[in-house]
Amino acid sequence: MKVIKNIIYDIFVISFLTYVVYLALEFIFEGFVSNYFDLNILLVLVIVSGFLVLFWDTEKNML
Amino acid sequence: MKHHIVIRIILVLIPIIVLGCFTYQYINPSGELIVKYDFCQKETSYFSGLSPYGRVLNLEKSENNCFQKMIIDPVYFDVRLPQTYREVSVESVYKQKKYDDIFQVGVSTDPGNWQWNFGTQQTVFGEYKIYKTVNLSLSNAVFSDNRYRFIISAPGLDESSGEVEFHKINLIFKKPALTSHNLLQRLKSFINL
Repeated sequence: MKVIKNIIYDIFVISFLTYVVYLALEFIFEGFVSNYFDLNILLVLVIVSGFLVLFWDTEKNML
Repeated sequence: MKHHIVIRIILVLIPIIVLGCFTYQYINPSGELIVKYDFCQKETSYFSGLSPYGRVLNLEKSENNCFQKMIIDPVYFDVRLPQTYREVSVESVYKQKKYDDIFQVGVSTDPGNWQWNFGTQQTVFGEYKIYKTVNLSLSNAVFSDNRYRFIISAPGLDESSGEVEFHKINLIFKKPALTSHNLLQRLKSFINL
């Protein structure tokens, strides 16, 4: 279970950093990402993984 | 623990590889970019769709075919690109009703003075549809906000109560392929200097 939590935490951190970098590139070079990929898909991944990380951390603190 | 490190490396590598793919697509070393528009969606990331509404009607769909009717001329479309190109071939597939003249396709060269460059065109009449290819030079074309603006002009279309039914518009943008000799020039084009 701990391994899964760590993987989800990694997914959250990496997807968040990727989202920020891709978004910055999209602002600087219009169409750099959006011509080929919908950034909202990555945002959904960030939100879902972030929610899971937050949920598990809160659960751990309550215990 | 070992598996976790492997998964972590894979997770880090995926966005880096994807970023490399985006960069390759954006720079486009081959110098050729094909933009396809089949009228099944209002706009794509490259193609703005035809405007203004009123001169063109709503997108329509019949079986496996999408199309849009133009009833008043002229109409416009923008193509958003990462960098400038030297020339473009505009290939269109369409049908004409109650309109016998041949419409023209041009690219904006001076929007303030309403100047357009209309290139050479070749029209092939098929059994049901008409296939037109227009070759345009982009050397004098305006590339504003990373967009080229195109015009479709069919004089007298509204007076004849005719219509042009567009089924496909494909644009093939061309420029010399990336080599060590034109690397600096391409870099300038890339950052729009």
